[in-house]
This record gives sequence, C-alpha cells and structure tokens, in this order.
Amino acid sequence: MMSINMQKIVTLGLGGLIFLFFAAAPVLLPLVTNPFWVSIAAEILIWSLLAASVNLLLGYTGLLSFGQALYFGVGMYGVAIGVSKFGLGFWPAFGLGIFAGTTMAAITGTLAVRLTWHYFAIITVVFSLIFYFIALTLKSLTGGDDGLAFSLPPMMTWGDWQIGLTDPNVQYYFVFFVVAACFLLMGVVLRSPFGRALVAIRENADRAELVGFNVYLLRLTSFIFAGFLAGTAGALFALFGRYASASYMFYHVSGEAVVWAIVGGAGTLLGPIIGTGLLILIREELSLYWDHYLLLVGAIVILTVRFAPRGIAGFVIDLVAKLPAEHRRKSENRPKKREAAE
Amino acid sequence: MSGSAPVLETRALVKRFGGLAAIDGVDFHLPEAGRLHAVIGPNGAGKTTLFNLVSGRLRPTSGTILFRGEDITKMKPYSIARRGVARTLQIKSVFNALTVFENILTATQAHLATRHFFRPATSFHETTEKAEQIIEELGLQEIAKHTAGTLSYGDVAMLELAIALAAEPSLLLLDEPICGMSPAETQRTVAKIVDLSKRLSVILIEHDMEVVFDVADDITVMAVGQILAQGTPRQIADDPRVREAYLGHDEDDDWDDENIASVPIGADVNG
Repeated sequence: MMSINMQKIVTLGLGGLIFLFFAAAPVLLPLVTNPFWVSIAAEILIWSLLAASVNLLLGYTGLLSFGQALYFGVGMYGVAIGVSKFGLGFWPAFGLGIFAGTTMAAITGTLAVRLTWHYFAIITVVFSLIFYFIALTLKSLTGGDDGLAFSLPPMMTWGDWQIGLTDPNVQYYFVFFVVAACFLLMGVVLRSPFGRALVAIRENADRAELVGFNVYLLRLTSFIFAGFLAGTAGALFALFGRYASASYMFYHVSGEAVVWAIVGGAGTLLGPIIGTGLLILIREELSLYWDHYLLLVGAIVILTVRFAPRGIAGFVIDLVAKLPAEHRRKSENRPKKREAAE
Repeated sequence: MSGSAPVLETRALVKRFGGLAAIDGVDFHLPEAGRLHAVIGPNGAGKTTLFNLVSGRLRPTSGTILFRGEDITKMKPYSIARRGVARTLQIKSVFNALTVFENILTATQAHLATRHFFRPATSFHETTEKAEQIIEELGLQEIAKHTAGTLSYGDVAMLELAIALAAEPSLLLLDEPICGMSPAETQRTVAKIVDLSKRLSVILIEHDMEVVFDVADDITVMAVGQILAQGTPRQIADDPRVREAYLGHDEDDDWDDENIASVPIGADVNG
C-alpha cells in the first residue's frame, strides 16, 4: 500500500508540473522560441484528450479501440454544422459538438462493447470507416473532401465589446481549461467505484461478472465517457481550426492516438498528455529534416511496449516511487535482522 | 435465511453442446441452508457444467433453476451473483494488478459501480470495513498489501474465496478449491470451507476423496450428465452403483495405495 500511496504522490507531482508548464506556456514559450509553439502546445492539449479517450478504454477498461477518431470527427462536425447550418452561437455549438460525439459513442457502443479483444478493435475500425464514407458522401452537409469551414462566433458580447477565440490568449486558455477540466474529471471518475470496476474488468472480466459487476453496462458507460472525451477534443479542434473535415474520422487518426496513449503510458492518467506531447514534438521538429521520421516513432513504440509496458509515465512514476520505498525497506530491515541474529 | 423454499433446485435441467448432453436431466435439490454439499464424479460427468448453469455462465438447453424459490434460469451471471450465488473457478483467477485488499474492496463494491461515478472508492466505509473483516476472517492480513499477481497459488485460491465472500453470498459454489495446493494449504483451506459451511450453503466439486468423505454433509455423485446417487458419505460409500461408476470392473489396477487406508471406497481420483 505504501508504494501505491507513493505512486499517487508522484502522479500528483507530475500532474502539477504538467499543469504549470501548460498554464505558463503562452508567457514562457515566446521568451525562448518562436511564438507559433504556443499553438503547438494548444494542439498537444487537444490531441492529448483524444489519447486520453483511447487510454480510458485501453488502459483502464481493457478495450483496444482503433476508432476513437470517429467521435473526434463527429465532435468537429457538431460544432461546424451547428455554426454554419443552424447559426448557433459559440457555447451551443460547442455543446452540440460534445453531445454529438458522445451520442455517436452511445449508439455504436451498444453494439461494439458486446465484443472484446481483436473483434472489438475491428468493429471500432469498421464503424469509423462507415461514417467516414458517409461523411464524404453527404457533400451538402459535410463539405465532403473539402471539409466544412465556418466563421467563429464570439464567446461573449457586451455592447461593442466582445471576446472570442480570435484572441490567441483567449483561445489558448479556453483549450487549456477545457482539457484540464477533462483530465480532472477523468481522475475523479477513475477513483470512484465505477473507475475501480473498470480496472477490475480490465484485469479479469470473467471474475468481475461473477462478483456481480454488470460488465456490459460498465464497458458501455466507459465507451460513452471515452466518446465524450474524444467528442470534446473534436469540438475544441473545430473551434481551434475553424473547420471540420471527414479526414479526421479516418482510422489513421485513431491509430495515432493509440500510439500516443501507449508511448505515454496506457493505464496512467497523465500518460496520454506526455505521449502526445513527445510525439507531436518529434513530428513538428524531425519531419522538417527527415522524411522517414516515422521510423523513429515505430522504434519508440517497440521499445516502450518491450521495456516500459506502462509507458513513459508509468516508467517515471515507478522509478520515483521506488526510490523512497527501497530506502525505507532497507532501514526497516536493518533492526529486524539484528533481532533475528540475537 | 429463506423460509420454506430450498436454497437451490434444478428441474429437468439439460445442457447440450451439439449432440453431446453434458447435463442430461438433472433434478438437483439443496434443501437446507448451512450444509456442505459435495459433488463428485469422474471427469466429464458434468459437474462444472452444472456450476456454469447455476451461475449463469451457460444457458441451459431446457429445464429450470430456482435459487431460494426464484427462477434464475435466464439471468445474467452478475444478476445471479447479486442475488447471493458466489463461485470460484477451477482455474484460479483474481484481479492481478490490484493488491489483495483492493481485490476484496473492489468486490465488496460491485453494487456501487453503476451508481457512484465521482465519490472516491475509499470513502465508502461500510465496504472498507467489510473488506477488512473478510481479510481477518480468512487470515490474509499478512499479504493484504501484496499485489495479487505476485501471490503463490495457494494464496490466490484463498483470495478467490475472499472475493467470492465479498458479495455476502448465501450459496457458495467451489470448483476444486484445493486442487494444486500444498498439504498445509489444503488443510487451512478445508478448515475454512468447513467453517463457512456453518453459516452458508456450500457446494463443493472435489476430486480428493479423502477430503470429500471427511467434511461433506451430503454427497451427490454424477456420471455422464446425470445424478447417479445422492446421500450421506456413509450411504454413498456403500452404494454399489457408485463403486461401479468410479472403480469400473478391475479394482486391483485402480487402487491407489495412499488412499486405501483412509478412503471408504478407495476411489480413483484421476478418473
């Protein structure tokens, strides 16, 4: 139990550091580098939410989804269609995006979570392909290949004065607070009896069912929550880019999120943000000089899976948590040995 | 606990896998609470299939299963578990990544999982106390903080029993609980099972005849999907049909030297 508590402390510390870094990014980054990195930081935050959605399923429920991009894409379209077709304001459109992503997860989830393992992975890909092609076909609604651009409504108007995402700082902190709130929510939910039940299902679904867990309902709820996270990420990304496109529904995007989650650490709350940050950084920097940078990404994935199954976050947490524990054990053992010798 | 309804009753229970009837018309009757009932029989007799039907892991082809008077034939395993039927599996398995305490705490909170999404799991004191009580009852204090995945086989079996008790069952189905245990672990586990059978109904599938005839109040003998005989250990030991089913014809070849002295019918446990 001692080491578990240490893990919690280390997680909190790590979370605090990440929080502070991203909170200070718009001020700090322009001091040391090109200001465009602030918007990369915002992108990392948004995509980390998609990775968190994968993580909730893979790391905490034991379900590998290759289709989370679908709910991301639906979240994007919820916002874009809300603004450009229904003439919604900022908040209702944002809400519609989240709602659309979550609802899509609820609908597809009722079928998907009846399956597990590779069957589950396959059906999630199939769903995202189906809706990807539907979105491509419905040109009048979705813009097809071109996507659907819209002009950003203001967040708030006060007479002549109005505030909105056109202000880069407002945009960054809007993304920051929504993402922070989602991670906080996920952290709280994972500590609840519901969250503990998900871990039980991940560990041993058969046993969980025999103990009295409604495995199907719990998996479905987890899937819907994951859809909510992905949908929120998509809604944020639509507002961030002022457009929606079916290309973000493609399973290629889902696969990237799976890689981010695994490298960062599936089954750790903060893993997704670390993995997403690292790999987007590699993409932004390395792709300029080296066309085949994905080879490096592949190598990183293989090394993580082989040597750090709980990803970078898990590796760091275990390492830091172990140090004081080792120390303590040694000091505890010493007097005992003496007793035994006597 | 219940009034007049029997703890468990199956009526004309049949389970077919393709052409094979694994359970072929079983009328099983467990009248009283608080007894240790053993189910024995050669491999392939349908013992585990019977457990799988009662716990809802398999749907019967036909027939009815009543638990304390309620028809549970078509219920899902979790639903049956919530009503008070707990079971362990032949191949022991727990929640490996969790500590022993967390394993048991999680199990005590099964009924909270779809209701509480925001309150910390550790803040439900009733369930925490319950988990601590089970730890104490089964003598797991020393390994309470160990990760389940690192436990010895015997300890995993004990933890599985602890998890089964977390749901406060009134019927406990144990599938070869002492299989693979050391003699010391066997003794400890058997003592615990006997202890438990004083306050709840236990049905035990076991191949170790020495244990079965030593501790069971009643014994059901199954063979090829049917109930061959039912009675007290004494009656079963004297039953010629049981001798036939277990020993076949050529007794001398099947006798196991170690078992002769203590086992009434000198059964071949490896069937």
